[in-house]
Amino acid sequence: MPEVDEIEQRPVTQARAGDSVAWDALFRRFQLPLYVYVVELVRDEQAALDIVQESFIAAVRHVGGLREDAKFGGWLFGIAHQKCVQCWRKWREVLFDEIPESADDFGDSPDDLLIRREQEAEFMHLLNQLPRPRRSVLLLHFVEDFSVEEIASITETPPGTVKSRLHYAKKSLRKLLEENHENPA
Amino acid sequence: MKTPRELLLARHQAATPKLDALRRGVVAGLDPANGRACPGFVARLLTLLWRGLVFPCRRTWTALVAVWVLLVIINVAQREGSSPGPAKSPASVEIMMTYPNQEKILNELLADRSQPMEADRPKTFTPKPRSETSGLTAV
Repeated sequence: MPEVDEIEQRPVTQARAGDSVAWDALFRRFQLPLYVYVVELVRDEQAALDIVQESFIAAVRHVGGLREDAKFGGWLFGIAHQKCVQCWRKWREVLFDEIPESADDFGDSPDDLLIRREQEAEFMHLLNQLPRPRRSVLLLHFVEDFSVEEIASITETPPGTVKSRLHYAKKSLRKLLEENHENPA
Repeated sequence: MKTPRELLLARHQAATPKLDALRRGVVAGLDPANGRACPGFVARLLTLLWRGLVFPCRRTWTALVAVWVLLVIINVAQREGSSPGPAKSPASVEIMMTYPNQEKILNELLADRSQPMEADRPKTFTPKPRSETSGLTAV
């Protein structure tokens, strides 16, 4: 993820000092991407809203633990990710699938993948078909363009595993989009 | 053509009003003094007292321990004092005082029973000679 630029860092510094206007600016900046990430993971609108709210409250309470202002976004997504994990545990569902750490061709920008209007539904369908760990890294990559290290930090997963999951997820998506492109319905 | 980010954000754009309301709620709950989530006044006051007066002060902890030990000692002493027998209450003392009187009355009653009263004494029976027998003897 590109680090929070100077304009975005300023609210973090002010928020640390207790400026509610700064908190409002920060939350406004991240509310929709964070919600998209959470709702695509938990697939429940109300649960996603609850998680976003709890993440905001936790951010206010624990902002003292944030080491670098520039990493506020990743830190906030990490809080939300932990709450998603708690939510999954509550629902007693399987959290992780283990993938061999083999792929190393990560490096495409998320914007390299372009989706035509007629492919949008298929894209969302395929995204929802992915196992949660792959969906998680793909969403973090797409929504906020987090780096592998950032995603690894957010999901508390080794960077190699993140690369692998991202590789397989993007490969699946590309395959689908190419198939649709070659054989338009 | 859209990027995945654009597609995902557009897909959930409808949630923005709810997110705005949610954000405003969280920001409104901030303490304007220091930007922290604002608890209730009493809770905050108790927390301040705890942090300021009780927690860092060794003398307070020592005093609390002393009071606690004193309470334990008093409790143990009370138990030891009351454990050998039943507690003596004013009612039981009165009963004990009336006991001799009752015993005296009982003795009197028992004594009367051992010596039958006048009315109950059996009458001494002395048979008298029948009249016929006495007439024959006269003949």
